[in-house]
Amino acid sequence: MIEVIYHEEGILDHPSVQAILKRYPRAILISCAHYKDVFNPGGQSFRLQKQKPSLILARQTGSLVHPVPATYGIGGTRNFYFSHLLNCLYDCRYCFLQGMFPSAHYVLFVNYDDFQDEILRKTKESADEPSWFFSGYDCDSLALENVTGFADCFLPFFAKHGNAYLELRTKSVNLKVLEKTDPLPNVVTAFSFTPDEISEQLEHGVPSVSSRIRAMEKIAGLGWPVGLRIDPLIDCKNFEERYRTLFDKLFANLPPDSVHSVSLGAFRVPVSYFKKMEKLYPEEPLFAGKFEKRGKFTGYRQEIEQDRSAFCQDELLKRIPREKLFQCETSVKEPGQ
Amino acid sequence: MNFVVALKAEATPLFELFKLVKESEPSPFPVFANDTHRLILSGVGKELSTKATSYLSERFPQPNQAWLNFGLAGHGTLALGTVFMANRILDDGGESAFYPTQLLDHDLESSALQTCSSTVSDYPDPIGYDMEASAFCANASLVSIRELIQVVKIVSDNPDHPVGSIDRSSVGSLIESTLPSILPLIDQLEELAHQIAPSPGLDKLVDSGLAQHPFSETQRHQVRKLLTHAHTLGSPGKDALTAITGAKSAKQAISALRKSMEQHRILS
Repeated sequence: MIEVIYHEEGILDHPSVQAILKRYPRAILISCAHYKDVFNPGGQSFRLQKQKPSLILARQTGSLVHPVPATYGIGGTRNFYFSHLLNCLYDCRYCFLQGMFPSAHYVLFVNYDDFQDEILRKTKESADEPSWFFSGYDCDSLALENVTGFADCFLPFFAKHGNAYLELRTKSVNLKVLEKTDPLPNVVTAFSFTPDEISEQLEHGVPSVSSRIRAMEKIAGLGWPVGLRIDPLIDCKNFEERYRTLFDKLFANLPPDSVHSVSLGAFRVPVSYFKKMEKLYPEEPLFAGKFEKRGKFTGYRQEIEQDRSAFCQDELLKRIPREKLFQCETSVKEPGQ
Repeated sequence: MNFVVALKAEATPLFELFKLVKESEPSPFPVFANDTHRLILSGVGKELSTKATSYLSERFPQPNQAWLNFGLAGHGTLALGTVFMANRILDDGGESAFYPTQLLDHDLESSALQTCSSTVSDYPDPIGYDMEASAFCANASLVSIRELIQVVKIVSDNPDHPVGSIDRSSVGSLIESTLPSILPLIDQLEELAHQIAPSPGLDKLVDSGLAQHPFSETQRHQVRKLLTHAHTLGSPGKDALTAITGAKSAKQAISALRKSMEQHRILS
């Protein structure tokens, strides 16, 4: 429920803004010159704001589509990300967003046409190779669909441009927008999972693992390619048993052909983000784990990371062919990128 | 909980409600307090508000306390006696706008507020006008998070009843009549401050641990972090303290503490 909406001056006439205001007629409207005036100041508590985030409506300017790190990808060679939305409906304790952003408010950039123009330009730069566009880097691609109308707007666009591939990354079970649309081979809906016991402890506000599996199976059954993102890997008691059980559940009813890709991602965040995350939740058991600094990142100690990752890789390869498994060596962009 | 209020007439209902007693210690501004609330009378204007807010924060230096600027204001459209929460605080001197985070549940009006260097009598926009809020916010935000800094005003004048027509004798009763709608805000602010306050049990454990050896500043930081982890992971504080007290030096204590923690460092 959105109770407060900030909006950049001069944006109220935008059709998307009008639609959102109509959806929340009782919201308090507050104008600002630039979204950063509200979002960027220091001295905000991400933790307290997360209890009741406001929505900030803005227009993004400058470069809108960015290259992703070379080690990140699911088979393509031209990989980009874009952020129509900053922040997430959910509150996962391991999420790097809480270390990256000064505010937990949702910032929605409503100028979708500008994003699409730039996606098209990038796609046309290389007609021979497909270009991949990741939409869930700074947000959950679908969790706020009822507010953003993002997929509703972008699916028809990608339907017209078969050489442009879109990854929707989500933990949402609200997939109506996909259910009502004919499946597109160039749109992969990727679901992130941790085992039940970890999800219950760390993924606050996220639908249960079982309900997400059911939602994924439903759209896979409709013909949508799906991705599985075992990311981040969280060290825990009974690690092997819990992850094996998760994999059993994930693949129990999923049509094998529907699985576009599976990726494994270690838990690594930039050192400065990790410090901020610890400070936000000093009594969070996750952050008392066996972590170390390696270069610019904090992650599990190398032997733990390698051991857990190797176990998951072996288990996954019992269930999928090697060419569908990808290792994301660094799942978070470095500060300033 | 800290209140910054310009005039005694605006503050009197709060003195009575919270049974605030004037502090006897010499002070550049009158300070009234009980065990959990403090109120400072700043006087009118940005400069005094700046000084009073800074003074109170230095006098009671705990971080991340709740701060409320409370008092009368003019407004371009709201009726006399209306209580409003300021949602965007502008400054006629060109300071950046301040946006108090809107987390509190309430049914009050919500309005922008412009802090002016002199009295406004023409109310050019449909917003509030006061003489202290921007300075209060700028200074309170040096010592507390934005979620805990709020400005609540009661409309005392508007285009139909300009500032010159305010009946000074009725200010107290005007304020008093609004207190029932303001008290829930105070409760919520205190609850938010409580949510991010360090755990008293952890503070006690850390203090005990740090008292055992002459730790350097860096070591104190390490001990604090290790004991926080011990507390977080549910390992008995007694075991952690035993590791520290059994060591012969500060360095050994940290090593022993780290070793005692190792087996607990895994998520359930």
